[in-house]
Amino acid sequence: MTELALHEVHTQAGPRAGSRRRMWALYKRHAYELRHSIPGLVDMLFWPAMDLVLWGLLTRYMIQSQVKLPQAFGFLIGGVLLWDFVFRSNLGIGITFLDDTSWTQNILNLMVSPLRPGEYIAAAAAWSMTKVLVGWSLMVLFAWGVFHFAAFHMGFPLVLFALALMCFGTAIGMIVLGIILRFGPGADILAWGLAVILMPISAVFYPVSALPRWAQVLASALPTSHIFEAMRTVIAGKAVPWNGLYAAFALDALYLTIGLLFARSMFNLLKQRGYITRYMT
Amino acid sequence: MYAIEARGLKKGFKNKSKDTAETWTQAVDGVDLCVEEGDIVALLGPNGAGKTTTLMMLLGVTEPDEGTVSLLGHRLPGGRVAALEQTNFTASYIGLPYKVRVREILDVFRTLYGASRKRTAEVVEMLRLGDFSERFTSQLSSGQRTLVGLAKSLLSEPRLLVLDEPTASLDPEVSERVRHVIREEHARRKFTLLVTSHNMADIERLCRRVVFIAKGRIVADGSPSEIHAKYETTDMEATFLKIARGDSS
Repeated sequence: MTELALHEVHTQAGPRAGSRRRMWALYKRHAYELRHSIPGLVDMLFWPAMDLVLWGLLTRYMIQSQVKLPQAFGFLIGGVLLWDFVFRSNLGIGITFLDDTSWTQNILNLMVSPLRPGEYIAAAAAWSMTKVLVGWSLMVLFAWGVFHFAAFHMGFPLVLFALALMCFGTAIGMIVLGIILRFGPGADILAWGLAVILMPISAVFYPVSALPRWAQVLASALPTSHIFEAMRTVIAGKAVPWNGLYAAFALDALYLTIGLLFARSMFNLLKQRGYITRYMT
Repeated sequence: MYAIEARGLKKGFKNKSKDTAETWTQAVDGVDLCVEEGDIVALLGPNGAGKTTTLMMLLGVTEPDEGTVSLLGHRLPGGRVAALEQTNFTASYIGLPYKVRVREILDVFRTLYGASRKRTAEVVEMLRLGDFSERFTSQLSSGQRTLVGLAKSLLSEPRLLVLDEPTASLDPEVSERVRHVIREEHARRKFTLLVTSHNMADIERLCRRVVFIAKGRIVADGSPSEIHAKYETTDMEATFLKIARGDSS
C-alpha cells in the first residue's frame, strides 16, 4: 500500500478519532511523568493535606475557644476542600504549559505535530481533573478520619460544586497560559498567583456579606462566590440555592469563553511575532 | 505534486531594547522554494541567514508576513492538521520532557502520530536506541537526545521529513550511522527530505539539490555540481565560505 493510500485509510478513521488519539497521547505523557516524579506526587497529595491540617487545627482551636461561628468545621474545612478544585485545575493547565515551554522546551515537538491548540488544552484539563479528583478523594478521607467532616454528606450538589469550580480553575489556567505565551517564562509566577488573587473576593471562608460593598459587587461576578455561598447553605442543612448554581455555571461559560479566546489570540500572536525562538536554545 | 511549495515568503522582526532605538530585521525577504516529492534538498546558509525562520514558516509554527505555503498539497494554515499528519521535524535544539523514559517518550509520540508499535521497535533497532531506552531523557547525552529526536521524527513514516542540523551534536561514527539510516529509509519509503546543516559532508553525501540562503534571500539553487560550477569551487565547504563572505559570483 502506498504512503498516500495509507494516509487516506488513516484519515477515514475520522478527524474525531485522530483528535482523541492525540489528546490520549498527551494524557499518557503526563501519566508517565507523574509515575517517575516524587515532587509531582508530593504536589498532588502533600500540600493539600497540609492545608487541611492547618485549617482543621485552627477550626478546632476556634471551637475550643468558644468562638461563636455557625458550622465552623463545615464552613472552613469545606472551603479548604472546595478551593482546591479551583487552585489545582488552574495549576494543572499553567504547570503543563510551563513544563512544555520554559522547563523542557518540548513545545516545538508539539507545534510541528498535527495537535490542535484546543486538543492540548483539553488534554491538560483532563489530566488536571484526574489529579484533582485523586488528590481530593484522599483529602476527603483525611478530613473525615481526622476532623470527622464528611464532605460527601453534601450529596449531589457536591458534584455540581466541584464541576463549577474546576471549570473556573480551567478558565483561569487558560488566561495564565495566554499570558505566558505573550510574555514568556518571566510570567511563570502567575501560574501560582492568579487564582490566589481571586481568593479573598471568592468568599471561600466567610459569607459575601462580610466583604466591603465594592468587593461584594466584584464577588457577584465570580462563580466561586456563588458556589461557596451555596456550599454554606447546603452544609447548614437548607435547600440547595439553585439560582446561585445557575449563576455560577453561566459565569463559568463566560470565563471559559474569554479564557479560550484570550489563549487563542496570544497563540496567534506567538506565531505572528515568532516568539517560538524563546524555546529554541 | 510539490511536497513543499512556498511562494514569496517574507518575515521581519522588531528589535527593541531599553538602550537602543527600535530596529527592524528582515529575516526572510521573498523566498520561493518548491521541492518535488521524493527529493532530498539542503537549505544552507551562514548563521542568521534566515534558514530556521524559513523552516518555521514552512511548518506553520511562524506566520509569514507575506507569501503562501503548501505542504503535500495542503495550504497552510487551513490545511495544517492534514499536512502535519504526514510531516515530521526534528532539530538539535528541540527539548524533550525529561522525567520520562526514552521508551515512554517514543510511545507518546507514536500515539500522537498514530504509528504502530512495530514501527517504533523498528526505529529503535535502526538507530540502536535499545541500550538507553530505559533511561530518562534527562540522563541522556546531547548526542543521544538528538538520536531520540530523530527516532521521533521517523516513527510516523512521514512523507515529508524536515531536519534542522540533524548531526550537530553527534560524533563522526554516529553521524555516519544517522546518514546511513536516512539514506536507507529514503530508499525504502521515498519521502521528501529538507535538511539544514553546517556539516558540508552531510550535504555532499545526502543531497541532490542545494539551496543557499543569505540575508533572507535565496542566492543559489541547484545540484551540488551546478553550485560548484557557479562559484568556481570544488567542494561545498569552499562554496559556503564564498557565500558567507558575500561573494555573489
